[in-house]
Amino acid sequence: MKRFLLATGLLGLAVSTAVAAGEPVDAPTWRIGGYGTLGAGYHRSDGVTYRRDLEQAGGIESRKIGFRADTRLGVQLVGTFSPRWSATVQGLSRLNNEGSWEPSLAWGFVRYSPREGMDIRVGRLGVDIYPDGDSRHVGYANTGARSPVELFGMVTQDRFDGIDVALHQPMGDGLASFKLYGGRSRGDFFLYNQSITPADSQTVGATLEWAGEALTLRAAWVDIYGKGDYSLQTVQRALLSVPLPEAQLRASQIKTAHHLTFAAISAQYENGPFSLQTIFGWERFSQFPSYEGWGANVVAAYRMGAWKPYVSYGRVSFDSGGRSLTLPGSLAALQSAYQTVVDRLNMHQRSVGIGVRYDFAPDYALKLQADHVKASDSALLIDATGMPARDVSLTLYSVVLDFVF
Amino acid sequence: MLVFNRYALAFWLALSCACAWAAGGLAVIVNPGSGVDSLSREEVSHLFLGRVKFLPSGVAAVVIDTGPMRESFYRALVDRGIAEINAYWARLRFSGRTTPPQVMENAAQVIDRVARERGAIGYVDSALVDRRVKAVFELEY
Repeated sequence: MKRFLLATGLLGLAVSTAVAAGEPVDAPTWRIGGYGTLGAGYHRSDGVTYRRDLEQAGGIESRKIGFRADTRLGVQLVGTFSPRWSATVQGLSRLNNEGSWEPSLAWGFVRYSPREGMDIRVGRLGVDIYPDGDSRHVGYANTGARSPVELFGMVTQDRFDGIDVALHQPMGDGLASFKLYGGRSRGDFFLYNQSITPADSQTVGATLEWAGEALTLRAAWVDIYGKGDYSLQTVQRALLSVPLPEAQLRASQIKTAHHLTFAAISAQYENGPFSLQTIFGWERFSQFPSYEGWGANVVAAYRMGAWKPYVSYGRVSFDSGGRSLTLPGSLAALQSAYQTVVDRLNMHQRSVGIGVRYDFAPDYALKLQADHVKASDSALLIDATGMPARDVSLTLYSVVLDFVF
Repeated sequence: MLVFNRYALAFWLALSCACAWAAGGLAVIVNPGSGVDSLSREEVSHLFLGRVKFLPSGVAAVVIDTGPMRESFYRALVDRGIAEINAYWARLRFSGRTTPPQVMENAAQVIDRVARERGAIGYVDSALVDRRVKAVFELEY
């Protein structure tokens, strides 16, 4: 109901503000459309569930044809009230952190373009870290079956309720853009068999991009500041009860606020039938014991008529900053719990993929893809109890039908 | 010898015409009142790929695709097939960035629309351009 009210309010705001500004609003145009993916996957790594991001409460289970990871449906309504004013509402249904398919508000904003080269949007918006990250659910827009999980799968707080301002300026034979955005974070996690909705988080980010005829270069940064994170309080209390200076020190280092920071540089090259996308990202999570790492991805493709074969490589490495602690043998249970906390988000995963996209009809694409995934630690891959999988090697076969309407 | 030269001349003329016909020309057209006299390839590319929303004169652009010529136009402009262009627009459309050009069924409809609307910009076969619209860029395909 809140989402409906938000969407209705935004549409009303757009119309009333356009009227106040003297814009012609007598003939607004409405356009409804959508996108979807019917995706099936199969692997034979016993006891492992493959997820495409940290938000999904499930995915593709071993030795079963699974539809839960990639399948999704989005519906969008766009109202254009004048050349300067428009409003967009988009609902999306996919497997979420609760394990349900309940639709959520993916986008819901009013846009105002006060002059050429400037756009202001207010409402439910998406963060903009990696190329096409704000369209990661639109399978038809992507070359492969899914956006590279080692990078895109780590960013699930990828929506916010706030404002973004974008400026565009011709530069050389291309167009330079700068976007600044911020607001209240939206997005969830499913980690350690628990659904987590960060209570009070703020997102601030910026993106700089230059787009030319064949080459697009981009640099992006975003920081998500979370307050009220009490997930480690039990361990903190237990450590405080241990009369050892080192345990007291570790307890004092556990905070209820944290920063989750991403930075990335990327390049996209499209020349005739050939396309290449490369991304390098750095990320840091300041919550105890603090994690830092990097991710990278390369996708190369070559169009041959309706067929587009491609290869991809992705890798993520995300490590805790140490914070060793040795407790007496009588506290073995606490020692084990502490070590689990320290290692809880370690990630070392890489994947190599090969596939082909077949555009067999306008607005439809069929993709066949095989990915070989190796992970010594991964929060993306989970075991039967929902815990991170360790030392996994699997080959995932995917058949995906993408469409837009 | 004279007869041979005439045949040779006729042959080369015919060949030239055939090549010109095969290559074809696409004209990007605007309304005469748009304030635009010519556009560069980059400006046309930015407009038709949704990167800019206003004509260089400051008039809000209404970008129009001619359905039957869409493939030829984007191939000639940015060397991309229609599947790539459709995927590109899906990306922009469903991330709330902008809306794709309106697609009209034939050149006559495009010319009518451009002639009526100050900010409209489209493309048609060069041979079809008439006085109601102004050609501001030409592409061979």
